[in-house]
Amino acid sequence: MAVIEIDNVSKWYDEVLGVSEIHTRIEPGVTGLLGANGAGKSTLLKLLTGQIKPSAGTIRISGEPVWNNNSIYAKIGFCPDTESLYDYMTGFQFLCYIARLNGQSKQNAQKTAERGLERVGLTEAANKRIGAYSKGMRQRVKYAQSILHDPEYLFLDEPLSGMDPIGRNALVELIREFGRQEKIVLVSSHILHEVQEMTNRVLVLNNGMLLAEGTVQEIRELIDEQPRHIQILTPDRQTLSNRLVTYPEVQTLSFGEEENELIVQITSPDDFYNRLDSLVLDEGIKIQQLVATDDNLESIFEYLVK
Amino acid sequence: MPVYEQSYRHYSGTYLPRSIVWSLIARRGIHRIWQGRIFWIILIFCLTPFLYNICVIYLEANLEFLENLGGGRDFNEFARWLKNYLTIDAEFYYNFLYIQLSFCYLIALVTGADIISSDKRCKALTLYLAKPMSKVDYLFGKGSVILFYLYSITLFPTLLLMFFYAFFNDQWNYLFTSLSLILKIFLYCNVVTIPLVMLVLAISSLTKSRVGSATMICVAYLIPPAMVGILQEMTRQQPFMNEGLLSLFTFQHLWTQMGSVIFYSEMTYDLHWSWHLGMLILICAVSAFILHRQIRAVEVVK
Repeated sequence: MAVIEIDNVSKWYDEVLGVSEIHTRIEPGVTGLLGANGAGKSTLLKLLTGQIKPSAGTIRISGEPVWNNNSIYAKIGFCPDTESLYDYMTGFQFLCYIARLNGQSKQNAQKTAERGLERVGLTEAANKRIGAYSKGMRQRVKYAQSILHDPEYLFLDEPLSGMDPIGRNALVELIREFGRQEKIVLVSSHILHEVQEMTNRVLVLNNGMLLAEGTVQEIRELIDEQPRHIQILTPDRQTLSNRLVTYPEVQTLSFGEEENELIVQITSPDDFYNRLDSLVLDEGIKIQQLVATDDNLESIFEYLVK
Repeated sequence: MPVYEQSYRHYSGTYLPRSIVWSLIARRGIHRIWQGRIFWIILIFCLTPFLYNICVIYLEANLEFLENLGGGRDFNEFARWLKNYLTIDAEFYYNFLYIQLSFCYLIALVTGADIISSDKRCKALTLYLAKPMSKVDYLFGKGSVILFYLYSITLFPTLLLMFFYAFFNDQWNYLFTSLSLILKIFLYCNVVTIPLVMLVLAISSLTKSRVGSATMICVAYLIPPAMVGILQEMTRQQPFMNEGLLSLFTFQHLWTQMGSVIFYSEMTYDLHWSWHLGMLILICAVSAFILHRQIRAVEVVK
């Protein structure tokens, strides 16, 4: 099975730290790489794509070292965060050129380029110069160049930035589809809901260090000691609040703007939910809706970097 | 058609050997420069000595015919003088190449100033470095573009002149009997072009600006001869600062010395030619070091 093993990898640029002692394993499917700007996401992607050499540690893809390994490079697709396009070329010419650089013959490169443009919905703009493309179109052509050679390992650095909602949804679907083919896809972003749309599995970077890894839920469990906010909609708001204040897990309790809204800050969510179940079943208190408002990546990220 | 309705299809064609990747970069670069109208004007301008020399070779080949025309005593004397003047030998080709040297910088400037800086400007280096190719492939491809156009005003026209000589005189064995001359021409062209290509690549990698890069190339061409000229005037009485030593600091002098050694086995300057060769190697080494530092996937902002 294809797997990426990152073994205590560090990268310094003279005195500037890129990433520090990253140790993890990436398996097939889509994995999100989360972090604020300057967290080390792009550095890690460049290390994984063999563009830069680790200062310490090793990176292996399916058992083979990445650095200076052309057989691995041939299986890698990389979509950089920067523009990286030639404005004087048309979209078709650009993709042909990239396909040729990937080692395809001229005829095959043309077919591949046509298919790549079709895949990202740019067929009509194929013969338009890239310089005249909109930001979203440039993003799409950049993505197309990364998947032209049908890579086994796809690394996308901020692929959705600057895209309109329709293009964004289409690209998210393309990325998910790639992941469904049991290929390794690593997508970096600093916008958390973007990653959540594509995958539930994330690596969180901060200041060059791996802060957390796993599914969103697993990471959430790691920070269970942090209080969690629950929004409850109930017609029995007063009765429920009277009971909830007696629970040791409940730290704060407040009424929301809606007349049936109750906001509770809790610790030990499992204990809290068990008690709440009993309350509903034994005392017949009606609950219309129960939402963990901070059970999303944004909140988790905030907790982790605190 | 919405893109999400399409599925992935595997590429089923064959892959080319990796060893020719550099040639794709070279071809793209050559093609792009070829499309420029201004470049064509410059190229034709640089090839005017070549066109002149074709006429010279034609005249030399047809002098006897001119003499036989019987155009009077004066005309015959002129034809004899012309025959002495027009001698097609190693010196003829060397002189042609020597003239072409002054155009080399112009061609290197036009073809090379933006060759890496444009990739840096477009942040396209990362596209190359994430592909199954090495940094050397990339630089070899880029360098080949400049080299091709430098050859097109030095090596290729010189060899063509030899071809025309054989053609006009109907002496095809001339090409085979002149193998050592061909070798000298090839060697000299490379001594001239390779350090220049390396220097221009290095300068182009230092900046994202085409103008900045072009300015630096002009400075590298114009400043050393000016400085050497000033130094020569200032140190005229100093025995340690002779012309030979100063000849190490300009391309023109380095090429002159190497040309004399290659074509005549003698030296123009009184410093041994190995110093000049060493200087050219040093230029290549420093340029290679700059390229090694500059061609990478990251820019460090401290």
